[in-house]
Amino acid sequence: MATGPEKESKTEHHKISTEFSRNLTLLQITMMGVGMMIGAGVFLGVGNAMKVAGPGGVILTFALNAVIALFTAMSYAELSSAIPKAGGAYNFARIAFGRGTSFIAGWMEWFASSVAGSLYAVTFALYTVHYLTQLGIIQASGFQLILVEKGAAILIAGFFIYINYRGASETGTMGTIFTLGQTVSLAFIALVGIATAIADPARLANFQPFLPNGWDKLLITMGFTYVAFEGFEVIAQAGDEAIEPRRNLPKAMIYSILIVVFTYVGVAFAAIVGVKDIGQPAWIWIGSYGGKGFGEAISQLMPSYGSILVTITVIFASTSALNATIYSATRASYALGRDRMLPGAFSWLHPKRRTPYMALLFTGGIVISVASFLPTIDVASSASMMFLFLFFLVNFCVIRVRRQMGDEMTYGFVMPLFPIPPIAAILIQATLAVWLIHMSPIAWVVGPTWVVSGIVIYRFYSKQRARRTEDEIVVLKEQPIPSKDEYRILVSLANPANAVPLALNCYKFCQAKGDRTEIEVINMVPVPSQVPLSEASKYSHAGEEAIIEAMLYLAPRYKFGSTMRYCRNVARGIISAAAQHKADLLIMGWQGYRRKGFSLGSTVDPVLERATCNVAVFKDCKQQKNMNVLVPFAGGPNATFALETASIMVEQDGGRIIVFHVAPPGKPTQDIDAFLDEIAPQLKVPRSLFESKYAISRERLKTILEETKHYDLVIIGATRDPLFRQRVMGSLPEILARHCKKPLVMVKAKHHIRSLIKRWM
Amino acid sequence: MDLNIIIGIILTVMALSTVVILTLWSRRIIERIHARSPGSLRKIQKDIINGDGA
Repeated sequence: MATGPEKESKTEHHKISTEFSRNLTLLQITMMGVGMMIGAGVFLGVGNAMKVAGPGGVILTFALNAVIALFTAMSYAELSSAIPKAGGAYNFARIAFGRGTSFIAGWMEWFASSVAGSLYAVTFALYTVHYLTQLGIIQASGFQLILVEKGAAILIAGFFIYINYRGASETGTMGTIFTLGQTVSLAFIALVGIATAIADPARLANFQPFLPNGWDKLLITMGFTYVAFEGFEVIAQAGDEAIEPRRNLPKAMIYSILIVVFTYVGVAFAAIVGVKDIGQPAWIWIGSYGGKGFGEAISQLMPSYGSILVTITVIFASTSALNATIYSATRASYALGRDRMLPGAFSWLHPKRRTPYMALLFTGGIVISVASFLPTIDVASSASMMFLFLFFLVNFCVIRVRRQMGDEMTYGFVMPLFPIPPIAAILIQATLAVWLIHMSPIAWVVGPTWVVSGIVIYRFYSKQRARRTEDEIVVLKEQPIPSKDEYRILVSLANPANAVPLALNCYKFCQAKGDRTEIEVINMVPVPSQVPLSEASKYSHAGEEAIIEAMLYLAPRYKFGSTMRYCRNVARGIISAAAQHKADLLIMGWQGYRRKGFSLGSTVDPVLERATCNVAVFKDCKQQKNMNVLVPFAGGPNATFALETASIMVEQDGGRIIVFHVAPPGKPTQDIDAFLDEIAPQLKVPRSLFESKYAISRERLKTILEETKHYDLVIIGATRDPLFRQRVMGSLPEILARHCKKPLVMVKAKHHIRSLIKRWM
Repeated sequence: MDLNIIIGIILTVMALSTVVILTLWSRRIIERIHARSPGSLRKIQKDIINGDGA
């Protein structure tokens, strides 16, 4: 049941095991990688690369870089499939070459992610300020443009450092939605470009001269824009959280390259053909705007909305990538502190926020310093150079691990054509790194200085103090998929006060379902994104008490298991636990109050919408006798399950269930009796248990609320409306649940939705 | 047409095709490995030679 480096807490009869919440799907981790890649490179890269290599050079730069990046992605994919644990290059280097190289990998990773963060902050500032300039707002303020840009970069970086300090981060579904939005927006720009070229083939003349400054300039632009393909590292970091990591991590890394290369080539093409009648060659005109060249070209392509579309896309892309790089960099420095390769202060966790605030402070210092003092070109070049160094090392690691430990590791992916891809990547990346000196001599000072300072720190500090942690590289085992003979109930417990009532209600379901019922009680322990899940055992196990309370009622009678589950987000953790445990029914409590912006709460709302099993949410259900149970009825998809739940919850001796339907005046009422005649035999309960009741009223909510006063328990089916609609428009079941003063159970019957895209992936 | 353009188009098409082919090839390898079960390098290579793997 439990996975990985687990802890077991023994009570008198049972063990509470711990497990990590694996809830990131293939789509989500792919989008994490895509989001990191699209963060800035393409927006800054098009104009600057155009200036150096010309129109053909930009297209070739992205296409050829994709091949090199794919070679490196295959190395990451192979290593991640063999070592699917958070840590990425830091872990790979430790296994392949030992502690010293591992320190350098972690040291470079910290700086590379931090400098990438600076680049995203600068990109955000460039495009936002440029848009405000077009509106005339910046000129009116009277400030110097460069100062405004630097100020905006510092402000946005400071904001996301604060967000990370608070422990919040945009991962999972929201991150996926943002990244999908950016990708769709860029794909739209690419399609408009292609359509424009077809409609007006004369624009293809913008490709001449194809390479005005010669072929050798390609090496400079390839090195400069290489940062646009960094994203595998963040996917590798998801090793502890991805579902089926040996299969999904390699796929996500490779798919992310496939998605971005076509996006980049498409938007670069659109930028080139977008320019017309500007009195000079297009590539000179776009190049003259430098980092803003892409935005200017798209404004020409789509005069009415190009500028705002690009600005919005850049804002979403750069901020989500900035957030991801800050927590990725913080994790890297936290790991170095934890292993005492850097001072222990780097691993201090904030007592309330649980975030590594000292690691975040130093990371924030790097992000803001680089964004403040280095010109944009040098920031981008420094970020590219650090990733080139890092990927260079990972390509060596994959060769070394295969040669020396190939038969000891368990591979979920082995790259084709080995060892050609890693050797080719090493040679080309070394060349690109050398050629970067032509783009940014400063990058050639910053990058090597950081690496050399790392070597010095390791030699004189870390080597003597580092903890022996080789044995900590334990791959978290996959949760074995349980066999399915029993009716399985998952009870999600949050606090001890709620444990006994939930256990009692669970007991009623168990009685109804018979002896072949299995119960899994689970408590979610949220861990901030900035801390690896493998470190989660540091947190206090407040839920242990709740589990023990539930055990007292349930364990002696039924097959019982209990788990503390570490997760990033409680709702996602519960949903994935229900899926992994193949639960038939999920039972959880709701305290009756909600956060602003949610129908029932930030945990209950997503669980009701996305859980793939039956769900029953209990509000104020104590140890009462349910003689009279009310089921408001509207004939929705949850009606049958609501009636089944009512038949289980009602007092078996003399209890009655009233099925209540309110119709607006002039509208036909639903035939409850016909429905009950059909459903009672299916539920194997006497028809006489149910009574129907009708009312005609314009105010359905008020009428039902008035009716609830006469009952011991109300059972209502959740709405089918999606979350967004619920939050904006409100829906009757959720409003009723909030206002009902009586004990209430909200139920939702299971559903299965799987898109075509997910099936192919 | 400029020779550079012809070479450029050929290189771009080759690069994009390489990415697509390697992606599909890698996906196939992953699916084949997981159709049995992940294993050591020796086991996977043996499967490949026997024609059961990638």
